Amino acid sequence: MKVKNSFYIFKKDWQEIYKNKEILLPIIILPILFSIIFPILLIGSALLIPPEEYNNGEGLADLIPFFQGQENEVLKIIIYYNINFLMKPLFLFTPMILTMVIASDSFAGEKERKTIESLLILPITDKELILGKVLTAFIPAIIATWAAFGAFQALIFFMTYDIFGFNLIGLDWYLLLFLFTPLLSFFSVILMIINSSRAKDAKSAQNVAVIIILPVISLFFLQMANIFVLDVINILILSGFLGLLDLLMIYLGGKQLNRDRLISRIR
Amino acid sequence: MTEIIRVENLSKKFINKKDKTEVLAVDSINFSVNSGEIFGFLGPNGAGKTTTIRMLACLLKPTLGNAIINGMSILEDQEDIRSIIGFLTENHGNYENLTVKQNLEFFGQFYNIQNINERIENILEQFEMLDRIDMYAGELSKGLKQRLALARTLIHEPKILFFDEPTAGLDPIAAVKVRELIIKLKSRNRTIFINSHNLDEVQKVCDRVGIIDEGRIKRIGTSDEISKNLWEFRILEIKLKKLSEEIISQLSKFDFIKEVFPINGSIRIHLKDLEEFTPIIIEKIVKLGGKIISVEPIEHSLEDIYIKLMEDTKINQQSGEK
Repeated sequence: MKVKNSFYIFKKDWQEIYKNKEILLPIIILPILFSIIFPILLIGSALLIPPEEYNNGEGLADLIPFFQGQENEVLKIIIYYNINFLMKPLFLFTPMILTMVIASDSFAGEKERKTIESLLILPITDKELILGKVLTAFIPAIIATWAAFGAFQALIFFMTYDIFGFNLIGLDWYLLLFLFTPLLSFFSVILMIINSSRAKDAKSAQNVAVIIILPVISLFFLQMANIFVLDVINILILSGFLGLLDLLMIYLGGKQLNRDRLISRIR
Repeated sequence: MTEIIRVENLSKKFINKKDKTEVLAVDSINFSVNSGEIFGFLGPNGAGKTTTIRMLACLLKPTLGNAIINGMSILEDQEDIRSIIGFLTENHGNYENLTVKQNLEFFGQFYNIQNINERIENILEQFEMLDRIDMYAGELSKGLKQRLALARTLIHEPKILFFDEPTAGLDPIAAVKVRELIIKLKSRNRTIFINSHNLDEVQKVCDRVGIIDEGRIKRIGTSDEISKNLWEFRILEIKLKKLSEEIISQLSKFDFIKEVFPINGSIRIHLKDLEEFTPIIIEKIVKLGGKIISVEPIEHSLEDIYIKLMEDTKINQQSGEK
């Protein structure tokens, strides 16, 4: 297998994406939204609430007992809750949406723009071709997410260190970003590429997005209600489960993605 | 001449996912193409032309049979075959958001071309497109898009070229330019396989043709060979200085002549063998005092051949149904 062939496809796809606003805009906007806008809104709103109105935050004390009795107890609980309960699952939307937008265009976009045959005629193996398409969606989604996380981490540190005296971003965040997120992105990429290979155009290829989005939305509400928390143990368990799903996707991808199937669907 | 493409009992079956019925798109076809030849593959829409060309270009796996391309099997040597062929698809297949140069760079880099930039400049010069090197492919006219597609197909100097409807959708001037390029390529000893339903185009550029319908090869050969095979009688047109009823009635008496009739100051004769009987006819006319201005055999055009074959298929189908 010549990996350089996959990189040629990756490079070409990115030259194309650079000119495609429908794909480029979410890649730029989403990380900014999740790394800067949301944290500022969540922390800023907590800071703007006058202390005398904190009474309503009492219910949260049971949720995060760690801060009980401390100075600025309710403020700390609200900020901690917003960052570690609300933001954590929200952060998963960035790689997921980006992989969906990019990967749904992978083969369906080539069909839509009638370039699929000239791509498939190249003297490369099916594996090199598919790896190229996986890289096109996976690498930028991960880089954008990690870059957003870097900005998010710096912003949180800058806005909350004086209040807490320690970094709010702990091991759970690192596991979520550097273990769980790549596994989730990979699953999302392969699923979207398989669907893209069957769909007529990129928009109809996005119809399976619900398979990935629904569990993440559920995760968001479960975490909000403190029913299932994304702590170190749970992230490791979920990562193990996703790892197995990824292996299944590699198997399914190997069966589903080949020239014969791709070309048979072109009329 | 050496055989460069040999197709052996090639078949392709598709399964209609909706009703699970099987569709036999190509049914046990056999033919060969010689090195340096332009071979035209003709047939109506849905006849199996595109499926055949896709199998030969290793894009589709055959259900049965095989094809040998330059000594390699389409069942086993797909990557090697794809590296020596060029395939011009029906839709130009250029990346419209990439410049002319980026398009050629992308396709060229898979073929290990030494000094790709020089090669790109050379090929664009050949195609009179060097001044458009930095233009986006989407900004080019239809004719230029097709020329870029041709340049892309030729970037690695392939031995065998597959063209799927190369002039579809082009204006007449752009189509003529593409045809000229195809003929130029033949002079450089390239083997060219053209899928088309443009009969005039195929007649103009192809050495031999294969006619396919409903997945089966109906005829293969030069249009002259197919014509001889299809029609029992050939047509001879003789222009005379003065047409006379006597000549027509005397010629009608020959048993090798099926029919004689006047047309625009000439006579048209339907006869069995041109080579054998033309001298006898000329001798007779001269004896009868006729003054001959010209003698010309009327060849059946590819269009006549095609229409006759398709009509024969229809007649056979109808008699089969009865």
